[in-house]
Amino acid sequence: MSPIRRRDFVRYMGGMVGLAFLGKLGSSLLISRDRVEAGQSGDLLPPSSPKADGFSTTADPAIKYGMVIDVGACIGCRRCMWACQKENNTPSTISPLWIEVFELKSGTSVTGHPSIEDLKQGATTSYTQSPTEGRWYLPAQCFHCENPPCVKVCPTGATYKDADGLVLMDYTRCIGCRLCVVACPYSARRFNWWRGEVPAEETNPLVPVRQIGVVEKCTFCVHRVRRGLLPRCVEVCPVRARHFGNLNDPESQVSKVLQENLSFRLMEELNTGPSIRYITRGKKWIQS
Amino acid sequence: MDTVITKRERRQRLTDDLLRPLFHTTPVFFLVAGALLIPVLWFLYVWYIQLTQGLGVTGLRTPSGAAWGIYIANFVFYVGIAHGGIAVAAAIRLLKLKGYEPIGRIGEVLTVVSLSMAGLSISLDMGRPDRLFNIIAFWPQRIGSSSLSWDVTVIMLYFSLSALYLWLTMRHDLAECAAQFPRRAWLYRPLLLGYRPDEKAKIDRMAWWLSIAIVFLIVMLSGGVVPWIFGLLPSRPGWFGALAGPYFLTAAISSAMAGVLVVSAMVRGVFHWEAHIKPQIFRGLGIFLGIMTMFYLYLILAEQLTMRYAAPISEFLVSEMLLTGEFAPLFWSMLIGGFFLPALFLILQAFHPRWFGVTRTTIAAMVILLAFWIKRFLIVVPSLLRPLLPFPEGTYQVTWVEWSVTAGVLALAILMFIAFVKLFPMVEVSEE
Repeated sequence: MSPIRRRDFVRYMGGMVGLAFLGKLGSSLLISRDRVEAGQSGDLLPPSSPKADGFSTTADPAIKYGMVIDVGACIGCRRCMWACQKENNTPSTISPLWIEVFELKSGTSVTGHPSIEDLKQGATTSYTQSPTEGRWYLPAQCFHCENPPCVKVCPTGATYKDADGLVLMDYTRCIGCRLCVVACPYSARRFNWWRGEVPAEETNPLVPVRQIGVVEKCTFCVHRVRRGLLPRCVEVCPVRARHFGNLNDPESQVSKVLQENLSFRLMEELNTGPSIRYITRGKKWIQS
Repeated sequence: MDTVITKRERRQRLTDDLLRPLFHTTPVFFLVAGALLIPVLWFLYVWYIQLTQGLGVTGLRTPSGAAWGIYIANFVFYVGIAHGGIAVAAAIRLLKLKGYEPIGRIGEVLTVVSLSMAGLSISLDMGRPDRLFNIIAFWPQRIGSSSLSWDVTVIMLYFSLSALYLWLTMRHDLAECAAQFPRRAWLYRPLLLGYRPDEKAKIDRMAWWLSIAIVFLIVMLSGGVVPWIFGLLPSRPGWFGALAGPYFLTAAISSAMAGVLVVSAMVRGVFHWEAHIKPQIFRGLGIFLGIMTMFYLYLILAEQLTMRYAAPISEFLVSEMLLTGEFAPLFWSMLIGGFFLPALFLILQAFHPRWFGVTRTTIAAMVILLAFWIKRFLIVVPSLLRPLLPFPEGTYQVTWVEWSVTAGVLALAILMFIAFVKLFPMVEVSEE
């Protein structure tokens, strides 16, 4: 057994460095291929458009978006759910949809934090008629937390908190580990278990169609709100139970609604700081 | 003079005996390898299905249902086992436990193999395994806060150190193999890069420092980053809490001991190495395993009491699922049949040496090993089935895809292990 000479050793190490370089090259190819894939998913998208709205619009740090939902007014019609599905190219394989509306019995508390037992008492998402006497409705979606647990745990930065308060997804970066899914206390995140397909004529070109195996969720309609439009769910609500706007602006509609009403947030004690607040202005849920 | 000759002869016999698996291969080996190849190939096919059709082919769902399932349970299980060998090897070196030396390398190989399976299990669970490198690419930005980045870091470090440890401590035997078996020199020569016959003292020193590093990493991996994936999430009742670290660490060390014990017994039986791997090793490991398992039962008690006594309702509901609900049959049979009775037997044989038997100890360890897999399942799944918002209650039905993958990964692990047995010396030849 002759010892290996220095020259062989150098050659060997050279090979190792070469292999490492090839590996890096391969990984960058993989990543760039994903970008191209995203570019093709919506025709209007520029090739390097990883962001949730497909345009990589930049956030205005002076703005802080927030939503107020009046559970007293909500009649549980679910128009927000269906409009959201259409607006955001959500395939039928995503279930539940980005927005879910829970029907709850009256008598369950809503001040502060509905406990799981309160909510489970008669809570359902599969009601067929609404509004029903003695019931109230709790719409829930991504809460765009000030301190989002999903962003904290993400190993790639695929989900991120933007300067205007939106919690967004970079679908081309997501590895589908679903750590964010389990970290979200509101169960707001959905996963593409199947290859979701949206018919071409029904596809909203402003929103990328998500690939298989990535996580998605409500974006507060980033592609609309950054152009000065309201989120689709707010726009379609027939009883004006949803209010949306800039919380930093005291003259905005949400700020005014919050000044006039007592509000609460879900699971305040988890220190997530949800950007959706609830008010009970309609108070119809009180009678039973 | 006489003694020198007998010593050399004895050494020659020992070498022949321990290197025999490398020289002689019976048809039984090929039969076993072929039988293992079937589930492995099936697993590859099923993985192809899963990749092309999506993870929907598993029983996983969210938010009604479990977003993680037996792939993650397998991951935690294999990471746990991975501590075994190298922990044994490091302990042998640092505490100078001469009597356990023959099983040191079995454990080291077990570490390298099961750590690979842990990595594979994570890739299997990912929606986009093709983007695995994103974790590395964005590592600098995410290492500050993502518990998964911590995990990947420590696992890669642990894998590097254990593979390095295995390689360094094997070099002396590889030189022996290269000399005795020139036809395989192509395999041994690259591994003997820079080998000098007098390097042993230096290797020992390096291995000693590696052992220190590995002992620290054991705590950081199974008592740190793996439990922190779960324990740091207040969104999941049953996971959240500071107990997660010690809880997972105890499970890891216990299941690792059980794994080393079972594999050593099998290697011993197959190659008739009764003279080299002595029964005292099994007795010692068995008693240690029994005590650790009993300690684990105490941790389960502490956990369940906390989840029930004056706990938030969400914690209580998860505990209810385990103790009286849909997982109760699994939970109680695991607790009594899987942990308590085998551990009791292992401890009692410390007091009654006549009750000891290698086979019995191995069976007890096998049962405990299986129970630790069930425990991992019961950690991962029930907490996910109770979302905090009132989504419809989901269930988790493990599909044939997931069972096929689980079986395939296990078969792959065994296949890698027996391939190693055929290519490299499994028990250190350089005794005395």
